[in-house]
Amino acid sequence: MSETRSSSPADRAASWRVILDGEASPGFNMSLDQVIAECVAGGESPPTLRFYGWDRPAVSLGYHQSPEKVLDMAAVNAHALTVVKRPTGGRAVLHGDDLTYSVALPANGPWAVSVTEAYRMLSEALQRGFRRAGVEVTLARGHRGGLRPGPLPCFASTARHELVWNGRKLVGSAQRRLRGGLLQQGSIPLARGTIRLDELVPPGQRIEVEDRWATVEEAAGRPVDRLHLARELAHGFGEQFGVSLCFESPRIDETIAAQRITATP
Amino acid sequence: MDEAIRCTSEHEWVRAEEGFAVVGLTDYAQGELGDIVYVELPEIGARFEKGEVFGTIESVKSVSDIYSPISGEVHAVNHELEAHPELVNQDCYHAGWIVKLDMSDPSELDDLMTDAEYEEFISGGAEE
Repeated sequence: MSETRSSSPADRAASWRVILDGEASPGFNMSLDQVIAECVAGGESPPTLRFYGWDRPAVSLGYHQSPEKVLDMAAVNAHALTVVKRPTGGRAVLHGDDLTYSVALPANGPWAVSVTEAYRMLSEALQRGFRRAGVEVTLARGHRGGLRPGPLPCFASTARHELVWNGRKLVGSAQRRLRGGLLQQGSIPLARGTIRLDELVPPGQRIEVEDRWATVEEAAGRPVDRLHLARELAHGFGEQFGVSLCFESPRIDETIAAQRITATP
Repeated sequence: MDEAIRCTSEHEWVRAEEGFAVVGLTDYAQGELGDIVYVELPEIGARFEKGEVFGTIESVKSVSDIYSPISGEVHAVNHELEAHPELVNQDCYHAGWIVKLDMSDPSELDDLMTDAEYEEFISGGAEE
């Protein structure tokens, strides 16, 4: 992949790139996260935080999930939802009224520990950011183990070190370990939308999930601006890891690579 | 650890057995990953070069690639892992094996770390 910058990643080792993106298609969002993670893992890009939205209502599935097994496709079609697969693990997440983040890191760093410990560090960074935005959240004790990639949505349960407000899940996150790097993606519901999560679960497997998760609006007691929250969360990472932040855009070659992946049937 | 195995820096182990190479994840790796909930297995007959991704494994909502420690063709896969991925946690060197490869070049085994070298590697004493 070609270099389009004069400074090398090594020059910027102590600074992280922050990309405050707008809304993009589900496929492009996932492809760009994947491309950035590969560039970071390959040493071509600095550690990168990306915040983004979705240009249409969508459901993202964990890497090992198949839509027919975990979704009621009739409900998905009735709501005109686009289904996209994430490069990370975990379960189904509804997007549209959320702020989504991704953090791509090289393998070497304080996060180069067990999966659970990496979750803890990254959750603490988010916790700092929420505090800056006036929202107090805590890290869940939760169950230690993983969840089989079954039909229940991500926000139906809380894993250890995920962020909760008032006992309800506020951030749903999942990881991908790459050769030379780590990608974590997460969804932060800003407000409740018109589609209920449990409507998307196949009939016969539905459970009440609406009281298990919270929105930022509920936690803050007021609507919170998406861009403002993204900036505060980014600064939380800066504080947590003692790094400076460079607010930039994706490199052209990263964008082109993501577009190519998105266009591939 | 089993002295007959060789390991990679990406935490796979391989053991020559009846002319095939049995491959799995090391105890260190399963401990760091946490509870394994899903193992994506390759097709029987698929060919992989040394270092190529042959599958993925999911734990605590984290997906990791599994790399082929040596070159070869998939002779068998551990179908037990489809229903019981936790076997990787419970018995990673035996019941939790992942694939059996028909080796293209058994001498590639010599390039991998011995158990003693791997122990040193994971304790931070060596870089491959």
